[in-house]
Amino acid sequence: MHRAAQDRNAGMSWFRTRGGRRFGIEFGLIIAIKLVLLTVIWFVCFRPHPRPDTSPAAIESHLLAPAETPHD
Amino acid sequence: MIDDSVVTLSRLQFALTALYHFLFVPLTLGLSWLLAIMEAVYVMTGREVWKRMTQFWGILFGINFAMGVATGVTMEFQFGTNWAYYAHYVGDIFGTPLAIEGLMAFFLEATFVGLFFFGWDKLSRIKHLVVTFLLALGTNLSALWILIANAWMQNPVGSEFNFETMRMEITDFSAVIFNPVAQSKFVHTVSAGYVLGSMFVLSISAWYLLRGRNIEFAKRSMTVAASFGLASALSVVVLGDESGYTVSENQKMKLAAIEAMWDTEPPPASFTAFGFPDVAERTTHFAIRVPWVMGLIGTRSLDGILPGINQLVDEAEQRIGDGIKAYGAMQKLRANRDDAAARAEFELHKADLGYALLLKRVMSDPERATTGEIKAAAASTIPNVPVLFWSFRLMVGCGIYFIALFAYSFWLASRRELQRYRWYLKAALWSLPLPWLAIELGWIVAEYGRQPWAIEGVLPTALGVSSVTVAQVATSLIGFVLFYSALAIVDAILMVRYARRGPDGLGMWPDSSAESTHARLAPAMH
Repeated sequence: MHRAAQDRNAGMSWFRTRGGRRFGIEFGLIIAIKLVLLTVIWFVCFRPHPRPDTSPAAIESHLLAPAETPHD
Repeated sequence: MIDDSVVTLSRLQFALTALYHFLFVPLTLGLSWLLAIMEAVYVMTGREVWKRMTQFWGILFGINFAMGVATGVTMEFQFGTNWAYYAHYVGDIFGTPLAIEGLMAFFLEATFVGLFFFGWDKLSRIKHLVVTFLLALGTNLSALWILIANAWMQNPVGSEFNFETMRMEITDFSAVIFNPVAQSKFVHTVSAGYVLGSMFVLSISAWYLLRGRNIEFAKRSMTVAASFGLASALSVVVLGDESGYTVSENQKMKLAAIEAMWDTEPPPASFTAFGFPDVAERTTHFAIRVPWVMGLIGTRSLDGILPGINQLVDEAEQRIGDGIKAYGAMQKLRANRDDAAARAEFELHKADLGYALLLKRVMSDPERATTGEIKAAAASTIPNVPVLFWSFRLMVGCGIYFIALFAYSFWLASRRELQRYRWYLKAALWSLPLPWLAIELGWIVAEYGRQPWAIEGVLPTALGVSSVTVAQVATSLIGFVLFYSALAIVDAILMVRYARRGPDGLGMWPDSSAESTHARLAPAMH
């Protein structure tokens, strides 16, 4: 950047300059794209799968031993 | 029966996302306070260069923040998808600090990030400085709540198992918040983040000096980084010692594995500085031991005993036996809640219920375990000794190096000789990856050392996984790897691009050729 422009910008926030505005746009875009990608991952990788069964009965069968049968 | 492949893939997925997320978090923690320090100098002195320094390092902070934000959300996805039983079993306790962290991170931190970047011309100097301090505070507070949740996994206080709901429930929330492990982990972790932030500023500034660019800007940045970095590096060691002491209190097996201490030594135990742990033979080859040191560090006494791995395995065997009694009593109580004898038996042994659950990995009914199966389950409480042994030593080695580098930098800065030695500037530049390495190694020691437990002594990791298939976990794992790899590439490109352009290239501060002229023409700005 030329000295004249630098002197003009002195005291003003860099974020209001052309470079600063570009940074602000990139900053916002990164976050927006990430949220879109995360949403895509959610719909592609997770949503199609059945929800794990965490009902009390399922937890009980997961943690406790199977009930004994007359054959045991 | 539990599918080991699902357990392994779920662990791998969580580890990858946590390790990746933890590349960003510590830099945010450290840089936020460095920004606050630089801006405080600007407010106190009114010198423009300090404002520009805050804004330039703020840009790199912003890139790191933008790339890092929401990468932790995927871990919360996984609590629901891959770790549904874990979430059910401990959700009452674990969920609360996570929810508070969400509020801290998304409301406090995110709000002040926006004000930091876009409030320069809208807020007075003092108000903007307050915003920057609140940004740093919010960032650190969100780390506090995550570490409270994590510390509960290492030391599950303030809660107990309810056989009627089949889950852990909070009995004393203040005990969860003021968990001594949480306090020591928090200060140790944030200090490590401060070291990383300081190294980041030091290394990039050293690169400018090597290139002869932004000299005054870089020297000031290095002075701040050297001072803050030295204080932080010393704090990491002192607070790490406190963190290690809490481990010796409640995670004796982890400590014994870190030290590859196979047998209990007469107090005070020696510290193994070097050696090759042999898991099969349960010995350490070519061990170089420093007498007394481990006993003094681990127990802070001359007569405190640190149990060895073999003795802890024997203890685990005993606890599995007691846990089986609790398990049997729980089965009876589930069938008849008024069974007084079963209730008394359960109350007597419920602290060891988790040890019986170790057997669930290989059998559906722990009450039928043979002596051999109990011995095998007890042996499974030994984490990966060589990985812990070397990770810890590399981390400590990095920590000692950081103290030396920051102390030398501080000395050079005080003598105004930061630019004098090119070898020093190159060393500072090439040291940039080391804090990341040390931090990730610290995470490995803390979390890999907790295995085979998800919740220490309460819930084995294998029992926390969901009823999902290998294909399901593999699909999401591939998705995460692709997503995070893309993010890492974009992050590296942006960071390098903005760092290479520097304050001069971005039009923030006069370039090197104009610097001396500018300093003469506008002394008030320096």
